[in-house]
Amino acid sequence: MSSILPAMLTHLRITFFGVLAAVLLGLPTAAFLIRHERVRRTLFVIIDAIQTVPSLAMLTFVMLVFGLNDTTVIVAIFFYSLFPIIRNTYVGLTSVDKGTIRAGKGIGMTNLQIFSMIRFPLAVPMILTGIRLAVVSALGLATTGVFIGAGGLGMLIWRGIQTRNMRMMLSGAIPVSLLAILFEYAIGLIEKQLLKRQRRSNT
Amino acid sequence: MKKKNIVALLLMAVLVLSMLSGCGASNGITIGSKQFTESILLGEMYAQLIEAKTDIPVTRKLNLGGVSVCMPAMEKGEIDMYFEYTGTAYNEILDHTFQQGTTPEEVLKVCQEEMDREHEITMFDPLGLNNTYDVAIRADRARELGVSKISDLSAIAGDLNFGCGHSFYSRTHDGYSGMVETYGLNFKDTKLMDTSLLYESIETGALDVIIVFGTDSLLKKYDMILLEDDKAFFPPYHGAPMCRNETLIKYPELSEILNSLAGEIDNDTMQELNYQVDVENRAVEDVAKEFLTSRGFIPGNDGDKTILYTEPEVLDIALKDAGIQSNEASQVEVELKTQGSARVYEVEFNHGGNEYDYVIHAETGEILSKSCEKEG
Repeated sequence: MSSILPAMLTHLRITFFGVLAAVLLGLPTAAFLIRHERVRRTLFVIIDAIQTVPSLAMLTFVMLVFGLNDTTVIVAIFFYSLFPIIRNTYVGLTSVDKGTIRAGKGIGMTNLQIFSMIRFPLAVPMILTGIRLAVVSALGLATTGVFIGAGGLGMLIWRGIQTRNMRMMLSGAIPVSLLAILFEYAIGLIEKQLLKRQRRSNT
Repeated sequence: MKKKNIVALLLMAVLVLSMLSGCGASNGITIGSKQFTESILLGEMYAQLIEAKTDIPVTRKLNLGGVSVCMPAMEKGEIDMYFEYTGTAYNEILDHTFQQGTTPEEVLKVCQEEMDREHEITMFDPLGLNNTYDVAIRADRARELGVSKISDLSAIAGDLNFGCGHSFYSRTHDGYSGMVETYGLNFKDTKLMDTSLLYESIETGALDVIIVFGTDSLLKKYDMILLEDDKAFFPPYHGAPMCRNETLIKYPELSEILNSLAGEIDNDTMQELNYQVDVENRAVEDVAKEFLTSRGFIPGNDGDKTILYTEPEVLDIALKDAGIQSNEASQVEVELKTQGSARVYEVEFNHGGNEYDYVIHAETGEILSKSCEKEG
């Protein structure tokens, strides 16, 4: 029992930093892509390709640079999270109603103002969707971190399976599921609230 | 927007730096292992041996993801040593294809030479265990059918259901198709399933013959025997520690320690040790420590307090009690077991037509029970 809590905190820390790094890099990148169609096409092919790399291969590859520790898992999560975050942010930023943008231009807004006062706020729910997807899959990916010597709940799950120790296995699997459900629900709730507010201000 | 970008970049840099600073310089020796009990257990044993006999700081990176993680980690110096099998080194690391007829000694020789030459890694002498694929059958069924070798099966295979894991079935050289061809086996039915379900299927009677690994702890649990591979079809998977040459140069005292378990752990012993972890759910550290102390590799006492008596010590206790000189006793057997919550030694030996049987507490050395019967 005593080993679950520290493992859970490590698990959360790995997930958090991995997704955070992807958000910090992904949001500006997506904003940049709005006006650079050619770059967007190439980049989307790259992040799509990253997504298809099997997790153990990715971890082994990253391990060669960062070593057998939590950092490797964080970096792997960062790579996998780029896909949902950049794609969703891009869609969010570009699917803003053209009329709204034209109205902004009409009242003399600069490009920066259009971005920060129209595009970005209206895209926030989609950005959150991306983060939600990234977090939930990162929680799962972090369990395989055990194979490159990282901490987290993965150790309990894999050792439990190998030794047919159901209790050990569940003591790792249940917290992972609960965390995934919790984040899914909490971020989803914020998304809904934001969308509701947007709709209200539209009418 | 520009400002935001710069802030983001700065944050990233800080983040990356703070993460990198976490991993300090690697001093001492880092021991790796693959992600199954046997590998972890042996990694832990070498860790305890090194800790007991030297001052070298030991870091454990046990439970890594198989040879595809362990070898790159060795090459990069992320780990200094781990426990590998000759068959895996031969086939997967050195890229040879095992041909039937190659002896285990030849395989070992190739592994030791080429690991040293191509990877600057020393492969030590094997422990004695051979964790290869094996054909297993329930002990009572084997008696009933009168089989002890795989070739015994060829005449009766038509009445038997066979089961194996997917990886064995799809192996090109040493897998299912090669085996049935070599031994001329034509089973009634062949079922593929996850390896963890094979044993349960044996128990329910759905399968008669299955493919297992030679040191599986469940062989003991389900009272199964291995059929002799009389045509030497399966490649040898003799287990031995491997260590980076660089590490051995830095710590020359390691070589002797890494060699000390050579020839000391056969399949039965390994099965028993795996059993204690997998089935009895004992901690890996305890099982490793108990084995090393009982065999006298590390001291059994910590200051004044005796932790565990060694096998020679309990044998002495029993012989002294019976009033017999050690050279007069024959068929000596000493085995460490769990009785209730206590760890006990079962000591058996013969002398003057009598069969002696002692049970001795492993921690106190107290004789718990004894018997002496006429032989036969």
